Amino acid sequence: MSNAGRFLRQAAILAAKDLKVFLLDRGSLLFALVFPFAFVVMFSLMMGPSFGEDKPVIVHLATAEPEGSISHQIIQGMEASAEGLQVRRLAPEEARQALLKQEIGGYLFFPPGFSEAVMRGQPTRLTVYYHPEAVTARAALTSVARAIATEIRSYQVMYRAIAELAGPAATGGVPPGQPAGAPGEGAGGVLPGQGARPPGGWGPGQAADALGVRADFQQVGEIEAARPVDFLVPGYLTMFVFFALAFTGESLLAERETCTLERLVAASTSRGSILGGKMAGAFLRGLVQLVIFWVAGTLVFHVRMGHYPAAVVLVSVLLTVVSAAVGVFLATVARTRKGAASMAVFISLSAAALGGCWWPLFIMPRWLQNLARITPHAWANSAFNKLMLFGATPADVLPEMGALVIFAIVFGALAAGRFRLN
Amino acid sequence: MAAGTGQVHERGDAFVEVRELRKVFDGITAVDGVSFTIQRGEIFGLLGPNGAGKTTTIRMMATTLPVTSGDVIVAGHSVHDDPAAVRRHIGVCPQELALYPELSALDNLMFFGLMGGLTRAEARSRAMENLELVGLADRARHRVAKFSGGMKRRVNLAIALMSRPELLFLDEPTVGVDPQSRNHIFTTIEGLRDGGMTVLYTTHYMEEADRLCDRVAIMDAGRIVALDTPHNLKARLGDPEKVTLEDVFLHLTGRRLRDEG
Ligand SMILES: Nc1ncnc2c1ncn2[C@@H]1O[C@H](COP(=O)(O)OP(=O)(O)OP(=O)(O)O)[C@@H](O)[C@H]1O
Ligand SMILES: [Mg+2]
Repeated sequence: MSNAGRFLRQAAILAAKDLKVFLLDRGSLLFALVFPFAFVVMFSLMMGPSFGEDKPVIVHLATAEPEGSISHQIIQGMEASAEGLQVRRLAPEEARQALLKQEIGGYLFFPPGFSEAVMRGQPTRLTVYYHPEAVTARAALTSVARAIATEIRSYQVMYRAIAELAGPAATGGVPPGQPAGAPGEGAGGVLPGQGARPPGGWGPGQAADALGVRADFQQVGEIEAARPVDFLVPGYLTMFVFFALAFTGESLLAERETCTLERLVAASTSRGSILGGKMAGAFLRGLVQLVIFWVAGTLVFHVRMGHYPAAVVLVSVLLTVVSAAVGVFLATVARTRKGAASMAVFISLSAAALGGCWWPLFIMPRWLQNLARITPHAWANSAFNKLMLFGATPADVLPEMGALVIFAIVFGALAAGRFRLN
Repeated sequence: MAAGTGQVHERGDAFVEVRELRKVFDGITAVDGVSFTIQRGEIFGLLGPNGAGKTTTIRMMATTLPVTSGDVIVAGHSVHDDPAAVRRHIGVCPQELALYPELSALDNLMFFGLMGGLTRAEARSRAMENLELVGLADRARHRVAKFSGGMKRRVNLAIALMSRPELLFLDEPTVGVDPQSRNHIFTTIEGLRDGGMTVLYTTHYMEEADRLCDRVAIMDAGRIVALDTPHNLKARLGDPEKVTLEDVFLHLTGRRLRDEG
């Protein structure tokens, strides 16, 4: 067998063994899978009442365009047909004041010149202004903005196709192949008097890119979680998935202390296979945790994963990789199993507290929020909160994903450099 | 078997040759220039008080610990220059219970078989054979954690046999084992020897060494202080029928306690 084949085979067998050991060990299972939910239930009961119940959603729309324009037609169409959605039209200034007084959670704004841009096939933008506490309103507005953008896009495609058929002379519109959806920088502007403070450390997101229409999101004021479970489940997931590095560290040191490592070496297992196998085993354990977390989170706790559940899952998978890498690194630092366990407890608990697993990052003072960025927890939680609470898109959480990848690479490399067979 | 013949064999026909082996840990010399040879098919005993350097010697011979200086040649291959070749000939039963208590006996054996390159089918059938050999076939699917001390020791031995080694290192395979289990282990080892396996055996039980070993080396403080057949060693002190190997051991290594620094 080739060296690479042998390496992969041995690493896979070792990882499968570790997963089996984990699944057969009641203590670890209890700790990794049952405990977290006990916490979630306890804290959601504690935090429950203050978060309030869902209210029916009213979508507020405002346009700066005159009667008869496309934006008016869109609003009329929605008023006439939207099912289960209450649509209310406001004058721009009226909407702005209502949002500032927090009478409404947010509104969708059609800028002046919207209709003309659409007709000409030129880029334009919709702006969603919202108050961060109004999570449902934002979600609704986001969907509406996205729907409109999609509609207009298909309209423009059709328009162009017809223009193409009719010949270039018939149109003063877009030449085919012009790059679409590339508006100038800067959004419609933050509401006056509110300051453009990016809450939670990130700026306004953009979403709903379409051929010619782009929706911007402008957030006003502080962010607050709407339902405790939407914050607690990812928080405890982060904490416990990371905490699992205790098993990783322990399991590698146990191989050393009980001399199974010696057996593996005597059986021609390479250093790389052992390292790779231990990391892969830790990763598989983490995946089991994730499956349980997300399945139970959705089915039992009715967690809302936002508009991009796949991105939420991806963030949690990246976190698992980080945990695996840090776990193996831990085993190269600690000398004994007990040492590894106490280090794991200390690191995990302090990082969970600092990294926003127990209380939202965005309620912490700014300097603490910055400090929190040294923990993978903060990045993971920030990504979860953005995606699950604030309707962010995968692009909005690229920095967080990037940070997690960097954590994984750095600790993986450190572990690989430090690991010794004897 | 070899009792009564204690000559040093010529280098050429030795299956294992240990040459001036040394190991220094942070200034502490654990093994201090040890040389001996083991013939094919021989059970070679390595005796010595705690901290004498037995385990360290075995680790270097089994390629799991780098040598400070000197070399070990196993079946013509140097542990220093070609550890991979040496590993194809050896099986290791460490002093610790080197197994996974959460897993069943069968899973433990199969895991090491698979890691050693066996297919699943090979690993399974070989594991069952080995469990049969150590008298645990009926407990194959039980968790090792639930086993008695003696049963765990037998699993430890059975794992070492997964690679069908020509040379087997047994580092105190009978610690904490009742006479019944111990007897079973002896019979197993004698069976292996009769099948042509070469065995390096360490123990603190002198009567074990007397019964099993063709030759024994007595180590103290990292050096070999005597090497001969049990019979010849006893004859040095008096009537071999009356003197015990323990008398020889105490005579050679003194009565000072080793764990008092
Ligand atoms: N990894 C290590 N680092 C430092 N010192 C070590 C290490 N391994 C062994 N030693 C030291 O080397 C010496 C020999 O130890 P070794 O384990 O080889 O003795 P032993 O003969 O097997 O003893 P025992 O009968 O108690 O098993 C001891 O002083 C021990 O403390
Ligand atoms: Mg020892």
